[in-house]
Amino acid sequence: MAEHVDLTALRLDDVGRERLVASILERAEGELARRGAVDVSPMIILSRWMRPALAAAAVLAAVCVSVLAVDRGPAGIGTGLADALAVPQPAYAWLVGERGPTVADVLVAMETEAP
Amino acid sequence: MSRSRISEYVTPESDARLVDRAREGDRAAFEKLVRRHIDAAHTVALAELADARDAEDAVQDSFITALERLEDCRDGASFGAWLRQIVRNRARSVRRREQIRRTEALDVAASASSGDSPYRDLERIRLRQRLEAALGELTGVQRTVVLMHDLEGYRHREIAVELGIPEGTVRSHLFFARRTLRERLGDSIQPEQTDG
Repeated sequence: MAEHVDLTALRLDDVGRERLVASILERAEGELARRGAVDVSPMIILSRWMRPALAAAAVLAAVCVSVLAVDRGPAGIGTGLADALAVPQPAYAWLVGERGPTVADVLVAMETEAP
Repeated sequence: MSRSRISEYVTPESDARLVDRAREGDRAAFEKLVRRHIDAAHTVALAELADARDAEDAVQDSFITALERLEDCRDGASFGAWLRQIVRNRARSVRRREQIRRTEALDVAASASSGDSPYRDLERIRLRQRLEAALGELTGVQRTVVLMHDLEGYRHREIAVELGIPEGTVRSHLFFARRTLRERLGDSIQPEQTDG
């Protein structure tokens, strides 16, 4: 199957192509004008900004969470995320140690927290 | 559109961008889309109708339909394939309803004038008529395959994807289409040696 059949006589010649393009564009004028004249509603304009706005919000949220998680302040004063979320100090220790409180822990905590 | 012609229009502006601009009524963007895809659209129409003038009518109608339905083209990057499907449907519809407009021989001669000498124009018209008659002997899918391959330079794999048929079937259709054309046209066509 190595031989092409020369069908180039069927191809649009330059004159024919230009005439066809001109005809198409002439017929398209009305639709193009209609499209150009359509007022874009404010909601559509706003929706075009929705994706960038959401992306910016996501980046901002990620930065804030990392700052809260990393910046725990001077040692012994605060516990960073635990302070921000108002987790009681003894409970935070249990969370970090990944263990449940013993009876003794609960008694100590109650006495410490009592006024 | 032949591959060499396509390369003339390769610009940073993608079909997707042009479609976006055309949706907003940008005439220049629509014109670029027309020029970029008109030859391929014409070939598809010709494959369905086997008549150059009818194919031109179908191409015109299809571009207008495409413009009116641009919102349906969800992937602007695939505008070409989407347009060719519109052309195919339009041409089939024309053929089914037998609304093909028959033109006078004089009209054909006038429209086919390429600016060359009258003698060459006449030769070209005669050859075109013979080719169209020979194409009429082929099945629709054979016409599509041989025109896309031998006229537009599509590869077997690309045609297979476009038509949704196996690549081997494309090769088979191409083989039989070429054989039929040679039988019908005899010495009036000059075979070209290619890598097939």
